[in-house]
Amino acid sequence: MKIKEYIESGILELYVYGALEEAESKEVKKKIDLHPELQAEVEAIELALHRLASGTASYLPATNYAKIKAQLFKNKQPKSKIIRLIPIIGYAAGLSLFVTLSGIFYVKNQSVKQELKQIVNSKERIELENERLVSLEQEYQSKIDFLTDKNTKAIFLPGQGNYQESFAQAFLNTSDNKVVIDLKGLPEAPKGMVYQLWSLELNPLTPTNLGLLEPSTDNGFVSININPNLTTEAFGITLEPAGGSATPTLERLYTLGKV
Amino acid sequence: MTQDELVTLINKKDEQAFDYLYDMYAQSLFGVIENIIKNKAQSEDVLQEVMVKIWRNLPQYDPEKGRFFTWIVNIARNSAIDKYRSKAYKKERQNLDANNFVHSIETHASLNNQVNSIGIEKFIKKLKPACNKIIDLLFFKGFTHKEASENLKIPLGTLKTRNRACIHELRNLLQVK
Repeated sequence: MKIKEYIESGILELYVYGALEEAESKEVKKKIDLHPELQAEVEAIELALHRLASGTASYLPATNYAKIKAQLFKNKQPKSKIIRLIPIIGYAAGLSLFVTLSGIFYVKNQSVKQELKQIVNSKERIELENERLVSLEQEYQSKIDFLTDKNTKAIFLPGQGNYQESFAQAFLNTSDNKVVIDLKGLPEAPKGMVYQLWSLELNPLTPTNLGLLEPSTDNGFVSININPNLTTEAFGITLEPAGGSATPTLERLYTLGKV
Repeated sequence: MTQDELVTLINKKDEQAFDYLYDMYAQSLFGVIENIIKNKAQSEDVLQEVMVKIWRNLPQYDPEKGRFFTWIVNIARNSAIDKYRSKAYKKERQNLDANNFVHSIETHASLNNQVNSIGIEKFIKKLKPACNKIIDLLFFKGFTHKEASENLKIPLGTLKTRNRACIHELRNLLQVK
């Protein structure tokens, strides 16, 4: 058997998937045992799939681990050792010693249990906090990645008309077809009103609704996907009644910036 | 660590062995489950079932029949599919392929609270759509090569070599030499 041809045939990938019949799988396994190159190839395929699968998963909270662990190991509390007393000093003395020792062990055991509980609690809190920080860090990282992407362009949207004090910034990524708007330069929208983002073609002036800029907890950033077929020559932000409008109310055009 | 060492370790069945199993595989099994169920909370429930099942059925794992990874992924897929079928949809497995793992990455990325998909997203998007489909059916959905070849209407031999090329590309993207 030529090893290279065997690898190129693609059978090892099917083997790792588990897509072969049992008999075929056993054959493959025999060959792998004979040839270290096949073993290495199978491990590489497996590693790639392993990473792919982990990569597609959403974040797995530590509580999940705790639940499974509790289910599997709940009955395995450490057993206390039984002290056998040989009744050389008489039954009564033995009994009284036993009672005393049990008392001491009981008290000790209780305080150890208490301590253990506290440690477990604080470990859980730390894990949760760590989880939160990890996800925060990733979130920041993905923002930085977006902002520093070579296809991301920053567009300043200065205040218009009566709203000279306002401003906004748009970060447009033409390969992801996504725009991220930084709203920090806009006053808070009054109750019952909402900011709305428009894509504008200038000649003739054609506005296209890109969506509402709802206040979010995300540090004043709002991310919006853009139809790749849309021509955007400028971004404008107007203040509209809640739910948004079909066409922009130009008297309340707060900011506008050319792409 | 080789797979055999790992299995030996896990077979000790103490808590440390379980931790090892969990650290090593929970996330990728979760990925497989989520690809079928598309619901995070339910996927977490299934993952719990799956980890317990793996743990309790360890003595049944036979290395002669396949890789440990293959065995546990299979348990994860089957449990996820059972769960999926038990839901109101009652669709056939053939209908499971409506959304593939690329879609699931996109969904997660848009939810913004997901950690793991962010890094891999840009790699996966570079895979050819045909590759996404093949890997999705064979790996994530657990089709046999015959089922996949019928589903995609390509001959078995072509499926095998095309899939090999796809995995090759995936390995390059993920830098697994």
